[in-house]
Amino acid sequence: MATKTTTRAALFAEMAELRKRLVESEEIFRAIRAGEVDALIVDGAEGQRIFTLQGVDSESNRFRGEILAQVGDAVCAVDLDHRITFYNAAAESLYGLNAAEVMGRYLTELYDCRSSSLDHATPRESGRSRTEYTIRTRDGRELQVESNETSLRDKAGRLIGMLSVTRDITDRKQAETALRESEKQLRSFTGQLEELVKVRTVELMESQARLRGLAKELNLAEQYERKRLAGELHDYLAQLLVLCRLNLGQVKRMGLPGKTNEIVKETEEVLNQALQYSRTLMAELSPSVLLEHGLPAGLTWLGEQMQRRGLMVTVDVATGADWWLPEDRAILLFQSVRELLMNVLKHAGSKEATVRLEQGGGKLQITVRDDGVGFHCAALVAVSSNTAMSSKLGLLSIRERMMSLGGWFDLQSVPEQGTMATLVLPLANLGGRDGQTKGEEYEVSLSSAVPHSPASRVLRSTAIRVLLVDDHAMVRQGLRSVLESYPDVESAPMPAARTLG
Amino acid sequence: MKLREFPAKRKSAKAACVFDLRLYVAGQTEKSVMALANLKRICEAHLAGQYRIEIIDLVRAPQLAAVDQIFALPTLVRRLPEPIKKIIGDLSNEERVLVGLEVQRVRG
Repeated sequence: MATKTTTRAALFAEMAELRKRLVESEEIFRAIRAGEVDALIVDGAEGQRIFTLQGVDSESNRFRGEILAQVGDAVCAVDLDHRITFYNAAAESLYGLNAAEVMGRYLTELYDCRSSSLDHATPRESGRSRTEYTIRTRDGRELQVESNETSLRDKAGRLIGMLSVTRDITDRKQAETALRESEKQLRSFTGQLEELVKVRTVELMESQARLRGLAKELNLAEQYERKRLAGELHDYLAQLLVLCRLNLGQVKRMGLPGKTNEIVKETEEVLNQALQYSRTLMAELSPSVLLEHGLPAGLTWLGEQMQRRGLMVTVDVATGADWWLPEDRAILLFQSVRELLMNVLKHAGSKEATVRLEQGGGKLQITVRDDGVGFHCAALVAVSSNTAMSSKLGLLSIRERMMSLGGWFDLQSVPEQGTMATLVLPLANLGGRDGQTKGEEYEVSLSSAVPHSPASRVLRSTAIRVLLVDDHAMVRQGLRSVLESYPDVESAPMPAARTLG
Repeated sequence: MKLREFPAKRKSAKAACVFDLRLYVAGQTEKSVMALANLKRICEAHLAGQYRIEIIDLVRAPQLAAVDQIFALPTLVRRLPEPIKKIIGDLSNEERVLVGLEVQRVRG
């Protein structure tokens, strides 16, 4: 009986188990029919295997799922309640949470949004959107992200969620910020540099202007010094020599013994040479012909001087022009031409040179040309010998002095084809002649009479009266002593006047 | 394979939990994801502080299917309170879930 009872109990239990399994099986079938399950477990020789149940379009869905799983950007899908329904590997590394942790959880649990509300994570009825925002992940990283959101719809077109594709743009943003910063710095540096260049340029121009001013002053100082030396020579040395010669003439007239007379004659010859030399020196230092008769005459005189040194100079002056120039400019041009002619003499190997003086377009132009050996202009920069260096400095000096007067200097030369130097001086703002102090006239006037002087008319019948006019008392005294040896001549000084006009 | 227990932060809730639930899923299939989302929502709404969910992904560990004799996925197993109960499907019908888990009877 016990066995029978046990058997009955076992049967009831077995029936209950079978009913339970039946209910479960019916539940499984119901769930399958209702589409609530999408995977089945099948026992096989290799153990349990899982088969997923998918529709006819499952293959493309599977591919899409795999593609989304593999893409480099974080892909995350949420349903209408913001619960996560898809989450790929890139999302795991971006948010620092694995898929198993976040599936079914709210999107807001992934991170704190720092810079905007979660509007961007709300499924929308229409379209796509792209947003940039800052998040703080659960492991404490602050990231700037760019997210593209797309609405998800079922086959019937109903909104069922949202798909977001998110990319970490922190590095890019930092790089952009750094780039903006460096561009800003660069602009600032460029501005500072431009300002500095501007300041330096102004300083340089001022310094050049000062240098040119100094060159001009140096030139004027040189002129002044030359003139002063010429004046010293004329006023003292030359006068002394003249006086000596006059005295010697008086001695000669006294009738000297033969030998002494010979010595006096020789001395007179030496005195003549000394006087001639002092006059040449005076002309070299401050050519009176230039100061008294202008630049064309000065250049002609210079040509004659050069001819004595062995250089045939043709001076060609354009006709019909007014060649008046302020003294400093005339002297500067004269000296520059002399320097250029000296260069021809020393370096060109030519016996001839041409100086052309012309005007046009408000400018005065002097061209000095030779048909000598010429040179490479570039080679002039590199010269090192003393002679050539001296010439180079001379040319440099000409250029600076011309520029200080607002003009310019140009030098053109080709080996074996001669050299042409051009000096150009603007004629505007030269000032008037009235302001010009004419050079002092150094002149010894030996006048037998002043025709319209009343005194001369009174004295004409009785004696020869000589009016001594000279700006040096020493010369007047010497002449007076000479004239005193003539009984019919009466000399009279004229201290108030220096020259007779 | 045990993946995660919900609610994760409530350590003390483990001792006090009444419902010990185990959700078997097949990776991230649509129904699996939906089932998890539905389960969490229902539990938070009706069993707050009284439940524990253990998720088992049979794609990663298919042999665990034998433990609770699972044939279709997703499947929710109520391990506690006894007796063991199973609810098959994506748990989209909240009423059916609450009846299946016998929430009213257990609380009552």
